[in-house]
Amino acid sequence: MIEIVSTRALNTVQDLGRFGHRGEGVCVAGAMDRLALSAGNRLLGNDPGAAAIEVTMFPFVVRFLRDARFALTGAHCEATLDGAAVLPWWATRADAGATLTVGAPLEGAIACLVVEGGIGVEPRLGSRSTDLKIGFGGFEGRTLRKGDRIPLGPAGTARSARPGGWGIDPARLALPPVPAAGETTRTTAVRVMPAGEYEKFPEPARERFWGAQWSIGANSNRSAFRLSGPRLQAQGHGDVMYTHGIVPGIVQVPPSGQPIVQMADANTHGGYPKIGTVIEADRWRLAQARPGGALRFVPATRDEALAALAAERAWLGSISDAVERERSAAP
Amino acid sequence: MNVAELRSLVRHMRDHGVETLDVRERHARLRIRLDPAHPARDDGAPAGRDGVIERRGAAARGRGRALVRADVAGTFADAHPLRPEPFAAIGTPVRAGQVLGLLKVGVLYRPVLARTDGVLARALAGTGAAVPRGAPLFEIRKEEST
Repeated sequence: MIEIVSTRALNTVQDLGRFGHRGEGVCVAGAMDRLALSAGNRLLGNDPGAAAIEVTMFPFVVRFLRDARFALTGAHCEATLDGAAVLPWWATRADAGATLTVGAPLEGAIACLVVEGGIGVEPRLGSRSTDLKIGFGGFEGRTLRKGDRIPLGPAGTARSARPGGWGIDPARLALPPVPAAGETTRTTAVRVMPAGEYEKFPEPARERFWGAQWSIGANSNRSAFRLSGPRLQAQGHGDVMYTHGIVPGIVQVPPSGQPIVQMADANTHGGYPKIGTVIEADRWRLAQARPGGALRFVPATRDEALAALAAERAWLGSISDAVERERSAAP
Repeated sequence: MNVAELRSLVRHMRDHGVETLDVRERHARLRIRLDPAHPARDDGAPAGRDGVIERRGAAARGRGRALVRADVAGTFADAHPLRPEPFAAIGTPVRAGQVLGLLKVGVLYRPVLARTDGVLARALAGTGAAVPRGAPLFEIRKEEST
């Protein structure tokens, strides 16, 4: 078990998401930065879909109630284990009683605390993710609070004896950057494929969509990022269509003309015209963008989207392979 | 092996406190022993060399110095890729178990750990250097035990 010593609102248990129930109005939920979760699980030799704690509010302090290896992935945070620095994207060991403190991110927005064996809450509808809209799944269907004792899954038998653990490059350095994006630490670039109603937007609106530097609103959250910038307007269908199913990553344009990007807790349906879809491989980049930050959309083809996803999967696979070699080589 | 290479080997031995060195090249075998009384030069020559197959004795220990060696062949870095500052600055105290650098093998980083308390005296490899297993990476000057 681990005990929450100090936390603020909105830190939750998440896995890769809850699938197959959107038709019943149950959103996918799951980690906002699924890549950080997957990489962390692979660093520890966990099941790739094991649940972890998503930390969006800092500082976050937990005490380990048993010996456990853990990894901190996602946002680059100053973190300490009983006062000793913990490296980002690194798997190391905590003794029972040790206290981990995760400070505010130096880069990125969301940290992922992955523990050997995964977070051992009971799955609900096939997932350990917290669904904050309905209030089920995860730890008691809610955000974590001080004093919560979070169960851990059984640790693997292939323990590493190598002192100091091991780590990987953060995803931003390990994966190729979004091409031709001019990405800086202040501006996040994500690739977008045109979606269902793209053609219904007049050419000037499309140009503004691709050309603008969008500002991520302070009212952005796990459900959606709300952007502000030049006004976009669809034609034809009007501004609202019959309600239809939507998925995380969809970029909608409501009558205000200010885009909304659906995130992990995306609504299961909506009625606004869809101008684009953030490709799956870049959703972690968006998740790590901070409210108040700048965002650019870079056009991508289906082939480019698939290639980016393949690069991510190859990287994750190489982490698993390397960790497996380490574990078998360790004394 | 020519005389220049021999000189280079001897220099490496002095730099890293190696008393006896066995070198094997094809069918030839060479053993070099240093006279401990002979003064050592300090020219900061780079470390590590193929062909060195055995090392005996460590004058370094006798002088209160310890070498931190690569426990695996890899690419060395003295700082984490997200952090510009080196893990430990030369001249600062370090503790056994402290991370001094990283060795990257494939996608995985492995820590280079101090094996003893002391003061970090010298870095013997530069960031980005491909180092063989056993290559000296740091020299730690042990503190006088009181």
